[in-house]
Amino acid sequence: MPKKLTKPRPRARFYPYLIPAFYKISSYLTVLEVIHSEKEPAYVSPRCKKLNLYSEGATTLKKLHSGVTLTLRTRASDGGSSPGLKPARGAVLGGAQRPGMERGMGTFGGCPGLLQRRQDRESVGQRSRARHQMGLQGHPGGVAPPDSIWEQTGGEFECVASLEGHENEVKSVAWNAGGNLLATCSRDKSVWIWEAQPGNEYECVSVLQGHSQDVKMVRWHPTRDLLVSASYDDTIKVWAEDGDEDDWRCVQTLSSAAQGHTSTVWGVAFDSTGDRMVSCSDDLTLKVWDTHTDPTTSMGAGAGAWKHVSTISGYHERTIFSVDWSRMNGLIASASGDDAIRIFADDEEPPSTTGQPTFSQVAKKEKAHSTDVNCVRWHPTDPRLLASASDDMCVKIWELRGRSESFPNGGSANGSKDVHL
Amino acid sequence: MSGSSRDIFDSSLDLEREHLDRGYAEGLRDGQTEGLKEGREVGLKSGFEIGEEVGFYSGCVEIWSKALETDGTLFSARGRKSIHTFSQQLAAFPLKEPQNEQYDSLLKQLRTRWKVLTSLLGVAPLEYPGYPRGEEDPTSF
Repeated sequence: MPKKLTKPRPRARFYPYLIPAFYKISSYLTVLEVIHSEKEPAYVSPRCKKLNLYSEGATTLKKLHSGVTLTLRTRASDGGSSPGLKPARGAVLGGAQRPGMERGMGTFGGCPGLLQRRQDRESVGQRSRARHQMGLQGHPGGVAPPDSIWEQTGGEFECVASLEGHENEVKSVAWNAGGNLLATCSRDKSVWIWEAQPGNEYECVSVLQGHSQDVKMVRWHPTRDLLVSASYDDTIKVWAEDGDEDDWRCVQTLSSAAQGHTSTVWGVAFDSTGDRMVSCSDDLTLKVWDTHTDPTTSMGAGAGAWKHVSTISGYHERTIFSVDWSRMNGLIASASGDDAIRIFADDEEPPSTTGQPTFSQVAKKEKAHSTDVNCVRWHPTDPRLLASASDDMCVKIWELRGRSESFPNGGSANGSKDVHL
Repeated sequence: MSGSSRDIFDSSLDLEREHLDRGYAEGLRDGQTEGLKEGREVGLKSGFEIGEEVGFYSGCVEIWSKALETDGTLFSARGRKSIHTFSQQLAAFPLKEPQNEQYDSLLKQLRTRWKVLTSLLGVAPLEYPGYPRGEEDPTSF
């Protein structure tokens, strides 16, 4: 059956193809996700070849092997982004571990760059000397470039490893909770798992072929070594290691038959404990799943399998590109192709008919951006802050106002104020 | 009217059936010869391709195994183990049994393991040149 075409709209995304002159940093990387840092990051905004860092201190990011310098400099106030930049498909809140730094957020937008922070296990607690490693995504286009791993030591980032293997665009990258495994997924329908070895060596542990179409996103469970992948083929697959022998296999598939999505699944997010997961899709719904059980005990169906709990529908008018579940306030934020950001909360009292939890919208920001919102991410420690990235080449930080920390009853006047970078 | 059980016009009642049967038999015969011819061509082609691919893998693995024999410290531990398991899987592949139901899935598994292997040994991407590539859809993101 032909897929419903809700996606195609002329958009800034095509600029790089039409205006190669603006393809600045050889666009090795496309920003596709917003990831949080748990440390005190710094503001960055794209400006041609330079990414400006809004912070107390200065940080320099260098991509050594390609000879391109992305400089993050201190700026007191610099707003907006220059025209002709590539659309910001996502933002990254990178960590800069300078002690005493003011709270802020750093982003890579526009100019391609995706960083996902991983905390070096040995340096937990040693804020001043923490080493951060980031995984960068590959870029779109004919050549399938390697992922890059960047490390921040002191005030500098340098590329310490390059992971080759994918044959097409790498769409998403995710570190597991323990920081030893890195998962990447690509439009070549495969998911690769890499293990970090001492000395910045990364070894491929496994290649997971199971999806029949592009894999859009991967995410790890916050506490267990379970990998979840979302794909263009309408399914979400759960992967786990079988025994101890690098044998990863799909332990469950959440497909439309199991009350799953009926169109491309664009993203997934776990709540703070990992007992529930929300997924967003091109079929205009968000689905919440009960994920407290261990799916490895039952292959597919049965006692350990994850079950569908709730579907949030009727709110979105276009594809939902991204979803994130806040660890601080338990709210779900969604980014949609209709330029809006919506916030959902768990209803206090589920209807007695099903006994299942239900969710309803508590806030909505229409025209959050002037075009598709590609990604939303909550701040890891501040319950009010939300970042969003869009095809309009902007990354915006939002503040949730008008509600108490606990879930509001019937929430009123939940506004969002935007702060331009 | 003759009293015998057989009528000279009996055969005319079966005319249709007779033509049907004859046509079917002819079709079957012709189809078989055509099918055999075509099957042979396709079989040769794809068999050759698969054979080449499997041969490529086994050749590489053989070199690596020999190299390991002379110097057991080459590659990483995981890489060494991977060479070993891959060569076992290669040996277990039913190359000469095209009718085997698991043929395709085993081949796919082999290809996946190959990707992991080459990545572990640091020679990725090492591919047999005849490997069919999927088409890229430039409008998809």
